[in-house]
Amino acid sequence: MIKFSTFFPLIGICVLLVNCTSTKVAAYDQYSYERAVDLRTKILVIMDKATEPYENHKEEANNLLIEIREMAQYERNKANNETSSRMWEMFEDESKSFIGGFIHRWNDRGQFSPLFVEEAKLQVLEAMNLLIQFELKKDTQTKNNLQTLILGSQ
Amino acid sequence: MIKKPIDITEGLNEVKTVLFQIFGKEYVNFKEETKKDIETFMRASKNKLERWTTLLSKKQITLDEYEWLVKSQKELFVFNELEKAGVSKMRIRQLRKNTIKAVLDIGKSLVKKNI
Repeated sequence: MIKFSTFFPLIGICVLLVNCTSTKVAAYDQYSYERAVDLRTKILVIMDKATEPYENHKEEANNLLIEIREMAQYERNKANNETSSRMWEMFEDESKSFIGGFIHRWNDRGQFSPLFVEEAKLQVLEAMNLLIQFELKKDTQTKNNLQTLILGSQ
Repeated sequence: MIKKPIDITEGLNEVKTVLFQIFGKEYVNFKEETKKDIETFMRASKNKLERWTTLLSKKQITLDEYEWLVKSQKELFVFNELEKAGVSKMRIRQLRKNTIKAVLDIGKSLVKKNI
């Protein structure tokens, strides 16, 4: 038969494991999800215009970059949100081949060929979808946590 | 003038070697996993790399644009790895929560039996 004295340290270890910050992931955020979906549309619209000279769409492109930077900042400020935060960081980084890098290069080169824009859109869209899916997976985690909490209190 | 056709297989092998070097350094302790991930990446990238190489050889995209696309594919790989790592974290956390719940349930039943 298990003795109490051997059982309590085990509970202590479990509590420590659960509270270990290295495995904490921020809860699902409806605002993050909606903003990401909205930005995905805006990004694809602006990328379509990259077959025309950058100067014609400079303001639009800059405004979009500001929105993306704001979003990256928002994600950075959340606790235990390294994955989403890193994804947004890569997304806005002008040295990477995502939207930040695309707009930076558009500014440098003036305009792109239509076939390149189509291929680049697919790449950026894939990254954006991964980011959105990850936020949705947090929803499942949040639901599970709530379920555990509710069932646990019954 | 006869143009030498671009050898796609050779190009893909080069990409593979470079990826092993890049990710091998970053994930020293996960060599086996890295190898598998790179193989998966190469399978997933093969069609894209072939398509882009064809577009380049037909001069429908520039070398500069081609480079951007290949780089974006490598970065998508990192993006995928980030996502997978994040999901694993969530799973580990859930597993830990289930573990503590199980331990507490046993504890509760022990208390009941001994009261």
